[in-house]
Amino acid sequence: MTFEEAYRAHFAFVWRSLRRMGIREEDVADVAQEVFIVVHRKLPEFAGRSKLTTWLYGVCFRVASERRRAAPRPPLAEQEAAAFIGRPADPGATAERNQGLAMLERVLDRIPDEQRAVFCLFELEGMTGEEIAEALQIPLGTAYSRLRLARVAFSAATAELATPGEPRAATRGRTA
Amino acid sequence: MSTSRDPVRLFLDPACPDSERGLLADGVNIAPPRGAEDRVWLALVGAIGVGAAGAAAEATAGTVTATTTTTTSTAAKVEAGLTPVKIVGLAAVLAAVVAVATYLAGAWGGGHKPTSVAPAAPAETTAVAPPQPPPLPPPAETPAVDDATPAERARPTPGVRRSVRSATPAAANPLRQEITLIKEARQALRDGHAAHALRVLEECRRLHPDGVLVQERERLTVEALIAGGRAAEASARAAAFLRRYPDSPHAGEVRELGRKAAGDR
Repeated sequence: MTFEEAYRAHFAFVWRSLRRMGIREEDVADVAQEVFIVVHRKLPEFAGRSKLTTWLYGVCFRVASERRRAAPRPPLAEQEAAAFIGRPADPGATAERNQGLAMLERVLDRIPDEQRAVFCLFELEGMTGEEIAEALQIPLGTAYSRLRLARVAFSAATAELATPGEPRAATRGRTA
Repeated sequence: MSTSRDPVRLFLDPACPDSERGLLADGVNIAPPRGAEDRVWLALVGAIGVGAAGAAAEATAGTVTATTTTTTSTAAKVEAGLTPVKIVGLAAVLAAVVAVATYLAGAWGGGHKPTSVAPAAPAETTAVAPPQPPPLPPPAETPAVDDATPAERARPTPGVRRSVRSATPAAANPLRQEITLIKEARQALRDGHAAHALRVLEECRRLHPDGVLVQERERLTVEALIAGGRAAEASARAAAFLRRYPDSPHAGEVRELGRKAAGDR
């Protein structure tokens, strides 16, 4: 597979993976470019030992981690998160979807990065446990335990941030 | 591959609350906006020279929304006249270059905008030099390049605007700075300013001796040496590159450049 073929086949995968890792919409083109610069360099070494997507995900994870270390992003304002709460679901509307995405980011931000990666790959990307273990270079058992912990954190954060009627109270409770 | 130990996905679990299911659906449906794929590809073409000129033209004519008059008119002509587009034409390549520079100027915000497409400001030339690592001796098989005569150094290079590298702290994002330098060198080479390209490449070598783009830098150095009429050095440099990076994605091109240099001697 040539570099351009890999790029065309997996650009969308890289994009959504980076977004789910917490790279903001306005930064993701920049970070995706950095990912593919690394891919361009490393593709000859890839040699098909694993699925290309699991290998690509590892590159995304490292580049995104470096980006976060270099420029830690400020948390979304509490009010910004509260504004999304209690709205009716309307999957057809782009605005609603963007609000949903912002809410998801807010929830995922509460999950430690390594658990978050497993959670996103399993629940959103639909990878198997074994594929995730390969992508993140961790034992299968570790992948499962991270998934369990991530699910607990996901449920707790969703309940806290998305419970209709109580957003302000929750906000005050955390900041008091 | 056994997946028997995998739990049921939350999305498919009847016990999953609607609030969680809604968020998961939003996460599943994340997709790049229209045109993002081609814009990032163009940026890659500008940064590391991947793909042929035809690919750049294709991307330019396809979806890049040009922000300069030059690019708009060129892209429009390309779109109107030739579909499907597979052009290797100077105009299209130039449009791609402008689009890349324009895109990068916009996308790489945060106070480190490359200004290669902006009017040159006097302040840029007087910017304070960044903190620099101690100079490292160049590798033995890749001799340091010092193409410019003192007269050339003193003379401003016409048509090549200085990048912001002098004003960009290296520590802020080394890779981005390295990309900016490589882009400036490529642009200088395209503009026919081989000596300037070599100076930029040398600066890149000094600031990023083990940079991510070291192979791109060496390949460009070979090109710039050829363009500067220094065929013997180009040939030696190409040979050194191939010894060091025999499996590089650039190996074929560098081999070709080496042959060209040998023919020029």
